[in-house]
Amino acid sequence: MSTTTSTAKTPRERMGELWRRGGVLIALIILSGVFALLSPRFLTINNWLNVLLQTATIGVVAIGMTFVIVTAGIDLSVGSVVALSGMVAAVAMRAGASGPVGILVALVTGGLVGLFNGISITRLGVTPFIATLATLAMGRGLTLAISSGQTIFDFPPSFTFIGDGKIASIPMPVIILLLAFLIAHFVLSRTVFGHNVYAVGGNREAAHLAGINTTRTEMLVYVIAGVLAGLSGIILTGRLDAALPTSATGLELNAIAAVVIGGASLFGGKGTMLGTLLGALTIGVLANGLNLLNVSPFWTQFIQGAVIFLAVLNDSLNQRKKH
Amino acid sequence: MPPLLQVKGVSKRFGPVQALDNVSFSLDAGEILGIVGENGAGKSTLIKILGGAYHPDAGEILLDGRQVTIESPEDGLNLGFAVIYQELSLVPELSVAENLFLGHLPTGILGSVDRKVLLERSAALLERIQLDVNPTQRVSLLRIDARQLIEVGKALSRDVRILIMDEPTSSLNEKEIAHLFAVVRSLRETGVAIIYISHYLEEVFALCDRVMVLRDGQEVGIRDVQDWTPAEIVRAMVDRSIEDFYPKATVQPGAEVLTLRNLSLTGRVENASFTVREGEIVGLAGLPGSGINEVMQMVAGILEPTSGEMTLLGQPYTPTSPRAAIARQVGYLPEDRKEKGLFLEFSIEKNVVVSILDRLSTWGVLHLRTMAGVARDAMKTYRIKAPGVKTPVKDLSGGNQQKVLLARVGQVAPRLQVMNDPTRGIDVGAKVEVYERIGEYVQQGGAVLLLSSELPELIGICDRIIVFRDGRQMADIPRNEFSQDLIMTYAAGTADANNGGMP
Repeated sequence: MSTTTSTAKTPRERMGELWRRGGVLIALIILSGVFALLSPRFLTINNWLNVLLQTATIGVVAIGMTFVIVTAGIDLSVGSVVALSGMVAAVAMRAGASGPVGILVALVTGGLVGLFNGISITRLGVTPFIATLATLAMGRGLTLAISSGQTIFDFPPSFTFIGDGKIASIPMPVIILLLAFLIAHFVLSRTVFGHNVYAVGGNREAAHLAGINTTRTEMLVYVIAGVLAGLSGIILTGRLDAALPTSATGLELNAIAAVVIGGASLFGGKGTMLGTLLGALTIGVLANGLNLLNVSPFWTQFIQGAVIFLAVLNDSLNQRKKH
Repeated sequence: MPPLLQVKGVSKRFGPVQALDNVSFSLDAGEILGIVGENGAGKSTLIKILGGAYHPDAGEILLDGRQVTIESPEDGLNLGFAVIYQELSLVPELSVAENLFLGHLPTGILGSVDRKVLLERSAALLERIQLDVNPTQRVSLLRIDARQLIEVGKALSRDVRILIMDEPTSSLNEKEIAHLFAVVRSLRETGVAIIYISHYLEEVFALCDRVMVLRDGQEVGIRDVQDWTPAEIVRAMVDRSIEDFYPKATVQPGAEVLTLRNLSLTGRVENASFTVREGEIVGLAGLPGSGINEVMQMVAGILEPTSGEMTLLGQPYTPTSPRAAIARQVGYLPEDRKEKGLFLEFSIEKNVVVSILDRLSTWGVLHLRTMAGVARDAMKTYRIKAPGVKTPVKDLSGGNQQKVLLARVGQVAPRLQVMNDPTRGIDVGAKVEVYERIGEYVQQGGAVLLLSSELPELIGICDRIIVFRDGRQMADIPRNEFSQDLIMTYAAGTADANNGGMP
């Protein structure tokens, strides 16, 4: 049946559309409102900087994950890559490398793992889930091996500044998160590469026939995810002034959750950077607010899971409506 | 005796759309009724009402003269209605036998499946549908034509009295269609009544006893098949005359655009050699397996030839990917617009410009305003009916979706377009528009290499038709010698009639 898209919408339909487009923003505002009423400390500038600081490591990784998920892929290795890149940089700096070299080493490590993921997915035909599950295990194993399972401390200030420093009293991780977001938003929405990412996720076969280099696009997406995981590793290591072999375990799941809460579809072709940023903030606000209210961390985890469930439910209900 | 089925004054409305308006017809046992109409004419609504998926707002349905209400698909099945929808409903991981009796498997003691009875009954059913497969085989291993027949078998397993088939041939080739028709005819002999929905008039004429035409939800003609001509059916469907059906622009051919010399693909194409000139529409005709698909795909950069050469505008042309072909301004329109062509969730704009993003950007940064302008112009040029360039293509009709694809290919390829079945599965009105756009393109000096599953279409709009059989080029026929018999003589080796898309 042909139905016209120009017919007037009922208020109810309009509310539905508003919810679909801005659901995560509305949810974030309501959530913040509730916490603000319950805890006087919630709405202070200091607390918000704290939320952003806590969100930075997940947020930077989630930005890379957004590129991957929009191509209908998934990257489970990012948590391990955060730990590995931080540890490789730590080992290098203990062996005498300077802070800037340590930073470079971490980014290159992340990029190389991403390249390995990209090659096994595009050239060797391994499905993203399995390919990155393997690098998850390999990355963690490598981190434990090169550190002999020990925590490494004490780095040059030029390195720790990334995680611990401030510019105009704004913590560096917050500045990096916002910069990374702005650049990634521009790349995804305004560049040829960004449009190719959507096209590959929307319909791979059609993208290939329409002249898009699907292999290169996918490869790049995993490299970006790897480099951003490396950046996140620098932030985490710098903030603690320590590289822990078991840090960032399970971080990939929070990053995926942020992307999905932000409205991206795991089937690909759909998602925005703004959504991801709001998704990451939702997770951060939830953790922060529940902490202020002295809710037990066990329940915090449960409530986070429930929020993810609601986000995914909302998406699948919208999907069903279309068919 | 009353007719097996009587439908009286059935109407159905969806919001502002009157999908069915006071439709009446009757159907006898052992009769095949064809129902044709454009997209949106009400065919799907009608069969969904008979299948129990929708309830009519008004009207009644009589079976053996007694009024019945079909509340659910289960009711429909129990009354003897079976609908085979376009999307097949088999469970790929189950065996042929289990699929045939899905929902009413023969059971033995304690409710366990009685495999012996199941296999016996399955064997009998498979014989009835003339399908030679092992009943224990998994359905996922079968080809699409066998699956289509198993859908028929599934209907037969339930003592079907009225079998309703919705576009059953859309993914079958000519041989498979002939097989399906033989099965359908044998069912007619056993007294089953059949309602057959199709876009292809050739099929309707080959198979049906009576034909009903729907337009805008109304019945606009129901006659015995011999009292219809194809022209009359088309006129009834679209309310316009057949003379305008194949608009043919006469263009004086210009310089050579594409030349193939001994182009071969081991085991599939042997020594294809022909030329396409400016302003020409060159058709490729052949039965499945003739190699015409491979020839197209080699020109479009999807397959790499094993030997031979191509030249494009006098320069050597060796595309190694669709991307490389597009870089040489050769556009390809894929045969399956939903699977291989469109990004259904994306806007018209994104679908139109996806192949020319490099041209609409500086250092990889897109000029958003130029993109929207290109899309707006394309909507005008290709007469895409939609609220705006941001409308998702999934909201468009099949014909308008196809025009979006034409517009995309038009952006990349000012000189040569390779079109694989550009009017497949779109309604008659939209077909005419596609022909008009192709005509405009060649009038501006473009060249077209066209493959079609409908021979009348090739004959209607091509300047030359090149015929292939078993991978070999058999003939290069100029327009003034076109005839279905001649083409089929080369394509099949004989002039014998065929029931499929190529009569």
